[in-house]
Amino acid sequence: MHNHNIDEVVYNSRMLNWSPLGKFILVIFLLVASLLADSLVVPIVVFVIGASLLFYSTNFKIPKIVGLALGGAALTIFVGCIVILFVTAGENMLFQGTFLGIGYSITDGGLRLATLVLVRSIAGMTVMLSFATSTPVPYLAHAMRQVHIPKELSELVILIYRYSFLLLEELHTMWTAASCRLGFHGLKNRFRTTSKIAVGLFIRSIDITDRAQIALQCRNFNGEFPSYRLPKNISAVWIAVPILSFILLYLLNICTRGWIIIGA
Amino acid sequence: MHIMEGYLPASWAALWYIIAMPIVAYGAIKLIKLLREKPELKITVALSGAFIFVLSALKLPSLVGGSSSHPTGTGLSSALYGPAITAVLSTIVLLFQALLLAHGGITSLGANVFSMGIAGPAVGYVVYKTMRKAKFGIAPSMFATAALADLVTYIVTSMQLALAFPADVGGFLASFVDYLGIFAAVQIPLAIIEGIIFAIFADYLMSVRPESFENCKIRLRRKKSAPESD
Repeated sequence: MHNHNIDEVVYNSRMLNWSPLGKFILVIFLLVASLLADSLVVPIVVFVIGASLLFYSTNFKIPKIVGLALGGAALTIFVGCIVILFVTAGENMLFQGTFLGIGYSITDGGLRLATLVLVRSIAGMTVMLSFATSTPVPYLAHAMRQVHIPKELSELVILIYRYSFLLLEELHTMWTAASCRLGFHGLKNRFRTTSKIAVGLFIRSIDITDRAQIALQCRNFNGEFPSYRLPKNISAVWIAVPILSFILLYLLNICTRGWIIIGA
Repeated sequence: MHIMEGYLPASWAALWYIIAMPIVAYGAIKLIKLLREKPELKITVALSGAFIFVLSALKLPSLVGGSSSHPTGTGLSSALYGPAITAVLSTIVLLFQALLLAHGGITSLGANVFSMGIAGPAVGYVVYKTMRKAKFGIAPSMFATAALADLVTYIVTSMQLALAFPADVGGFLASFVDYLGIFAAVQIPLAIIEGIIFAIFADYLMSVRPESFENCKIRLRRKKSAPESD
């Protein structure tokens, strides 16, 4: 179910025909530039680039699964930033108080770092999702082969991706069936049902292995999965664009230091 | 909980990559050698990776405030396949989680691989082997393996965060205690729950598919008997 959704999004992407390796290099350079920056402007610019690519890739329609992923991850980031806010040192104390008898303080340094990490993480998420919504996993495996990663590993990546969603569908079916039989009624039942679903899933996965093995052997499987529709290869432009973006972001970081001052 | 994208400073992100990658490379070499010798095992290994991915989608009941979390699944994998192969599988699974679910990140991948794919499984594997050698049953061994692999994963994650963000007063230690305290409220009950679930899992699996564990035993016996045959 999820697999069909994500595959549908990916294969309808307007960035599908861009070189997967080129896109991956661009993503890495943007993420590293954002990570190296101490100015808040750089992650904001990376966020704008990531969001623009994400909207362009998905044709201005954010699919439900991408929205859910963004929502869940944003919550985790927010909790983490609150921790940074309370533990980081600073020059000026902004707030001091007690909660449930435990003393805490917020400094300007903590607020600055928490804001920087928050913006950087959200920017990183949009950049990664723009890549994920435009690159099918078989294309990613092809990109891995282009950088001479052994074919055994790139094929394993494809297989894990395919089987993950196959098992997720099985899990969904088993979960619904167990819920219908009141399998999650009470804590003891929840434990028992969750364990049995995990075992059931493991046994199903072994059965799927057996069936897949027989089916592949019938088709003369010798351990290789050939690709007949290859994605575009990386060109000089795809090397130049990430490097240029990185240099521009680096210069932007130097020029915009102190533009946005938080907790002053 | 994985460390999110953009969370770790560049120097720490790079350091965890440097620490984790040789171990993953060693696992990859072992895995490639295995798959070249026996290409038919590719499907089984891939399904193990998929199983780790899916287990992380299993919502577990939590004793704290009606919240829920998910198992790491690496304890079971390290008991069945060993820590080196688990490190490679975890790397692939963490990459998918980062790209497809925005859970974790690419720059924080090294740190996440070290905590979830290397430290947790390695401790789990040692515990599993020691307990089985000491003639403990499969259920208590799996309980300890899954619970400790889970706990170690989160202790290492707390350590990684504390190293990156030391506290104003007390430095690394104070920050480590803060992060541990925050994780402990959810993670200690969760580790116990994961342990219970995998103990029931192992017990049930032994009754319906004993060969799953037998295969591991045979593999271990073969390793032991190899020097004698030489």
